[in-house]
Amino acid sequence: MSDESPAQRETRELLDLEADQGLNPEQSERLAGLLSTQPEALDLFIEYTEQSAALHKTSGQNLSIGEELVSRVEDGLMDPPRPQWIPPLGKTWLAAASIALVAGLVFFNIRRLSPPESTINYTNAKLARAVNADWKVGTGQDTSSIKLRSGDSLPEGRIHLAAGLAQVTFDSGTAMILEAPAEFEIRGENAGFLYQGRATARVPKGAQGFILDTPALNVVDLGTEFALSASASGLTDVMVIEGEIEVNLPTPLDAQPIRLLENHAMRADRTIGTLESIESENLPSFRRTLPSDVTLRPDATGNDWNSAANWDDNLPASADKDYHIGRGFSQAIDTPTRKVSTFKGRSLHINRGGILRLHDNGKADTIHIKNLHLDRGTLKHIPSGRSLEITGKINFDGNSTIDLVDNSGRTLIIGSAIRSSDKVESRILIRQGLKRRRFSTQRESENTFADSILRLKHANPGFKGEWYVQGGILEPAVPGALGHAHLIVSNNGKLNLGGKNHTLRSVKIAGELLEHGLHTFKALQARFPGHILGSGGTLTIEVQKQ
Amino acid sequence: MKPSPKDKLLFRLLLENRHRIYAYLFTLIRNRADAEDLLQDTCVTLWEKFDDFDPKTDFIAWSFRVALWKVKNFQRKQGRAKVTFNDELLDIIANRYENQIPKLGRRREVLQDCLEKLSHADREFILARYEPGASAQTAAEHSGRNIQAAYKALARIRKRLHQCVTHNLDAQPEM
Repeated sequence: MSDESPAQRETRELLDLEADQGLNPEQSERLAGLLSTQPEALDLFIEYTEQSAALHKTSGQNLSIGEELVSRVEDGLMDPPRPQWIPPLGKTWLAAASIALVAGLVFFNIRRLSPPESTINYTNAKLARAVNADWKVGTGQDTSSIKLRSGDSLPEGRIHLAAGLAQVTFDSGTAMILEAPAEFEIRGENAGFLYQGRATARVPKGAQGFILDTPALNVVDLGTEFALSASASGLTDVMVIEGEIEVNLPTPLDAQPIRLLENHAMRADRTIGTLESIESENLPSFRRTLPSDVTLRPDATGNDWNSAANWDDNLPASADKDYHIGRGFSQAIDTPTRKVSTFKGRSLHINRGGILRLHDNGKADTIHIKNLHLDRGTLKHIPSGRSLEITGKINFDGNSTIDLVDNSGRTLIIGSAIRSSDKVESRILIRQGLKRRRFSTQRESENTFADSILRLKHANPGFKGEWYVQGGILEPAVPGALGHAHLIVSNNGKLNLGGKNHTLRSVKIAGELLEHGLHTFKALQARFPGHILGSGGTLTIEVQKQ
Repeated sequence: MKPSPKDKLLFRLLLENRHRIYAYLFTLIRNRADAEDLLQDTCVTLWEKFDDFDPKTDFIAWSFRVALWKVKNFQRKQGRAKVTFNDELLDIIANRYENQIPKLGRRREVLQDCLEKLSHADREFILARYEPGASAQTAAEHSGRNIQAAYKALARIRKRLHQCVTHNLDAQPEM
């Protein structure tokens, strides 16, 4: 069969050469010359090239019609059905024909889809913790809810966080906080894909190189922390919180990644394929820690602080969560009346408007709170016995109040270390309610009055705020119990030095500021009768450094 | 974001025709990777301009016009060094290609039969050569041929396929 012309033959040889070895400039020019002048060469050229293109297809070419169109397919907006991973329902794997129809278009989907078994495969990534989370797997119409608990492995494939917040830990140690609504997928021990939603990733030493991609942007972490916000409409905002990252558009055409430094942000737009700098200040703030915060329910009875009925997660207090009372609302919770009562949460925050009512069972009792935080909240001692001791740690994150309920001579002992926040020099207001004289058939003992005492049994070098004793007796019972603080004693407030020596930054009693230097108990008692109690000790006022 | 009926129509048309647009681009640009990229580029433009498209007219002709324009643009950006065919020759090739479209479609169908007629070894070899990312070199290694033998074998198989298609096409009545 040699019905080809010399021009066709030469063209064919040039085309073979071009396909497998490439043409030099002279050969290129020769080919162009043949095509311009010889119609039969042009026909052969077209047929031959067409044949190669057809062979590309037959050999499994993955022909994409573009990221944007593909993403529409991903969103399930296309007419032809695409293979989907629907293991929870045990749906049958879609027909091979439909896979073939869209295989080229969504080939990368197929690769990452789970095998068509009815069991869920799990990744090595784990759910560290979740708050009010609602999980779904699958896409489009074929989603089903799944239950995930702290410590559970995450399933393969697309996971939908429909509500709440979650912290995911990758095998590498990278921690990612997700805010609902979010759709994501674990892609290995140090990689993930965020289809949409907001995420913050913290990459520890040794896990650098963490990859988090979105439909619009690829990110490689070069260490520490960054945040992403991906929308279904094809925008991704990325911001470096700490350290640096590399960002790149997902299209192979833009192979040069861009380094993004701390506090810098960029926006990628998949629709027009752009990547531009934006002001990081304009981005809404990202969650950097999991809000393990649990809040006292509005309808809480307040009794038994560990009870599930009180907290908005409907769970008993647990050691991996932080508990909040107040936050601008008047809310109170009571400690149970037991010999020893321990709060089981990791921390208890008494915020503005919040009151922690300390009860005892009539004897010398202990209340233990691992981390008590007071930020414009109130501690209120409501004793039935003589004294109550509170242990654990207390942080004064803002001005707060300690209420000694009345002048019935009770003692609240703070056996905890007290700290003030580094940022705020908190004022602790100590006050005391006044018991009214009863005129009915009360016993005589009920009409005895004595100031109640706040006794500090622990040295507090970490407290740098201000003691403001408006009522009751403040009794620093060990040296250093007042910390590196200011002290004001006024109105009905009293101070019992407890026989110990204390050093303070400043002291003001009954409106008078004490001079720098040492003040003995006797001198103080003589100068401020009624305000100084006890039988010894000294106050030293430091010279203020400029 | 719901797709409009027009969006759906475009998706369908692109799904059906993307290999044909690719082949057209490949014929003009002579490079597989460039053709694949330009296909995406073309699809985006087709989408953007889809409001201008009259569904009663020929989608292929319209998309080829966009694709040809993309090729010329691309070559302009690439600069002189990489230009294979000048615009004038591109127009000649494009014009002839478009006239041949029905025939090329039939050739494609027949090609599958002709592939079946190849020996098993030849079929495996030629398909290995055209796999994504493959080259004559990789196909040679895969089949245990030395490279010069591979060049010869590829040329022989291509010619055989082309002749087989031409022969069978002539034997078939035109539609």
